Amino acid sequence: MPEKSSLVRDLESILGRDRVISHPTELLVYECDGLTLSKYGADAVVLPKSTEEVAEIVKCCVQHETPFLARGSGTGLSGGAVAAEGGVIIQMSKMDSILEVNYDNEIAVIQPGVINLDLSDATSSNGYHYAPDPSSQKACTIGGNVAENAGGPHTLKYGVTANHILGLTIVMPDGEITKLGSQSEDCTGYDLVGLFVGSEGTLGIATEITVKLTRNPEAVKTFLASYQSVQDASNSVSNLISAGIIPAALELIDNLVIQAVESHLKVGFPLDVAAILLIEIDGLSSTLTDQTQKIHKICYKSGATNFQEAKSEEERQRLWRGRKEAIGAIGKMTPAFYTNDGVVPRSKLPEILQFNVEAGERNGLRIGHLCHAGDGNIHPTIFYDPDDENQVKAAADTSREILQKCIDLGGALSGEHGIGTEKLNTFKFMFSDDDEAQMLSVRSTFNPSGLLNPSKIFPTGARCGESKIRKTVAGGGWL
Amino acid sequence: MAIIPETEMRNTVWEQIPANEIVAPESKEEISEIIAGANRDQKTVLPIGGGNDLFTANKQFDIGIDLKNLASCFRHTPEDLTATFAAGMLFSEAQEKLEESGQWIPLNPPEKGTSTVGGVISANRFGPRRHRHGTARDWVIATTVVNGEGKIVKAGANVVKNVSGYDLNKLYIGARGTLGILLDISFKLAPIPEKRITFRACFSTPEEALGMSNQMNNSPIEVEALTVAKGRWTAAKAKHWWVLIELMGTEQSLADQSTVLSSILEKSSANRWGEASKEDTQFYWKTAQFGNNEASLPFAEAAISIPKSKVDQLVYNFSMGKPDCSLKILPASGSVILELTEGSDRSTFIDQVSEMGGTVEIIGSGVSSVEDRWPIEPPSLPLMKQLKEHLDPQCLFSPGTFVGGI
Repeated sequence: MPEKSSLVRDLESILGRDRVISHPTELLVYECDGLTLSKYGADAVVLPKSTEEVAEIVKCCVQHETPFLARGSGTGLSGGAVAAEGGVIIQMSKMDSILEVNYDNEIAVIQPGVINLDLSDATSSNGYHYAPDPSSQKACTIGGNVAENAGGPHTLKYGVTANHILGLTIVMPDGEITKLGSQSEDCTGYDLVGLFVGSEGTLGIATEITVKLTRNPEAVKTFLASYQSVQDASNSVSNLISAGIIPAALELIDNLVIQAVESHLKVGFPLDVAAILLIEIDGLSSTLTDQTQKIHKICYKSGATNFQEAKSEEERQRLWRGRKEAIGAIGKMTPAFYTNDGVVPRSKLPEILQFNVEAGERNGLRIGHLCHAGDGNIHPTIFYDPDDENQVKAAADTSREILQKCIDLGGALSGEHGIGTEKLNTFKFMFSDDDEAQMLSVRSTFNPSGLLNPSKIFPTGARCGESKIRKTVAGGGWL
Repeated sequence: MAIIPETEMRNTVWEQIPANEIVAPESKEEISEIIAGANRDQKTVLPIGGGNDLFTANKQFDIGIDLKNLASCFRHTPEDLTATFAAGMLFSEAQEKLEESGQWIPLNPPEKGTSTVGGVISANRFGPRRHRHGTARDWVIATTVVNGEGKIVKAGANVVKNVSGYDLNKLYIGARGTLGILLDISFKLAPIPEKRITFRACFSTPEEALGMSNQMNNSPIEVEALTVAKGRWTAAKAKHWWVLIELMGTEQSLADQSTVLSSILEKSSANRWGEASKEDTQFYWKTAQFGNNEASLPFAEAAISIPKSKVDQLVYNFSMGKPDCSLKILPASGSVILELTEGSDRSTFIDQVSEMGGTVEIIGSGVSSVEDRWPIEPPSLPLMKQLKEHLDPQCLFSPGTFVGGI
């Protein structure tokens, strides 16, 4: 065991020895998030229990001129919750209390380490849930969701994290504690809450979050439509949206992912199809019949070979399990995979999915699709062998090609996982130097020293750090 | 570029614009050059939209930039449900263009056809459809802005889900042009439902009206718009509290929802209730938006935002013993608009709202300073001031006209 640094000793004096991790072996867990392609070593990981402790930790890091960042469950896919320049990871998992639930105001005040699904579980008996539902919702924290402006299948109807956050207590990068927003819907002055959500933990550390709660719908229907070509399935999505139908969720899963799901989860997805759509509608029960008929008609007209409704809540949950746990199933099919988070305008889905398949073939890699299709968030999942350096490079190159194509089609680099370290080299596909300078002006307002979560989002001034591309087993990605 | 003759100003009298010079650039590049020049020469700039709510805090500016000529940009992709508009385009014109494809931006701010898209977004105006559709922050997906150095910068993209770089769009919404000049704005859109119907119910007391609204909120009906109104925002001689409810959908779904709603209203204490005729529907919503005497504007209005559970208390406190008071309430978002008469005591309700953790913006006569307009300062004001300094270092854009003197 190497001698503890003065930084570690000072952190221990704030938290005690049991909440400061500095042994190199124990730190390995924190080297990456869901993006396992690159890894970064932290000097220490700390586990605070309160806003005040976070503030003390931050002040200590500033005093030591050491980089620091907050981390939730590490389920992100952009290499965001990693110590890109070393330093201290502030692990928020012990700040996991639901502090207040107020059904009259339809809000909850929570600590950032609360697991996404736990909040919905805690409020469901009163007829409420927390609407953003990333596929990792059994594991991811709402603090992490705030950092990445997380989405999920049902954000098609209910909106992303930013649409559900009213107020924040944050520890600023100098250790000061401040409040943004409130429990009211409107704020006076600039919408700093809207700015903060999705800023990838580079503007401050959220230590209390006021979220909106959403009433559970009276009725829900879930459909599974099958297609003999991915093009037909993606055309179906375009046709539904252009007909003005916005379901609660609209997901596309291609055959490669179906094979993975059925091999390991056996949820009843058809194996003899090229792709399926998982479509969900909700609302007043008597209004769903109309919508069902319209969706049914459009799906068949677009080439669906089968269209079936989940006949029971058990079947519905099973289908969603297939979608939400698909990534875990993929992990059992390939030694490693790389998930891309590009977004395109929805009418461009057929074109980008075709492009992805061709890019995979060109580079000798298999690509599965697990798309939040209704949002245009494509999530191609690139299978590769981490022991084969050529494949590692090909996976990264393929993802880059796909992102360039997304931008060419009028899309964006990330739908729900952010730029992180992963997309630093593609940031300029989308933004000019002036665009970046404007954003950097905002960052320097909050984070003038740059010690908070450096080398994320912005390529200018970002150091490559000690990124180590390692041989690795398949990581746990979520999307 | 053109110097604007008085007759061409859309809704603002020439003499009322406190600018030494008013220009109407015809391109983004011209605006960029003007701002770069203003930055160099340390001149102040006042962006002008429709001129409907041009709050200047009695300040004088060097250059007024009227965006009326920046109205040609229009990109609509119906199949993606997205559209981009130039900031100077009239909001009503933008909506008309979208309606041709059966789509809309489901925001219905109280504007009479003279507000620009940029103005509506800069002021973050909303209307009764906020009940279901929220505000501009839920619909704007991308912006292009000229910043304090005259650089044209963009944020977001024409996709409905995006975490690429900071969401600066959120900052520009409601910033009243103090962080830059909006050039164009992209929206996600919603399909216009097949059919709309309105129900009106009249109640004797605010308790009854708000109680009924809460019941609606707890019902499975998907209400599009809901406003509780009293006084000037109801018919001229009405003494009752109105509850206006808009439902939308297909014929069948409306029939189903109407049945549920009727059953709730039947059991309520409403003096009168029923589905409104087409003509009455127009009258009710117009009255709730603009008042029953358009020629007579309120002396002043206080737009309040408080936690939803506090709405009842605030409304009772304000209306108790005042049978002629005027209020407009969107209960689902905790929005309350009070009419303020000349000489009315503002400090009492401002204190109440402050204690409730809410916000107030006062618009109208007798509001000349930023302290009058935004009497409750947010705790994060120092951060907002720093942000302004970083994004507009020379303080060119409407200095001294926003919250806390920003």
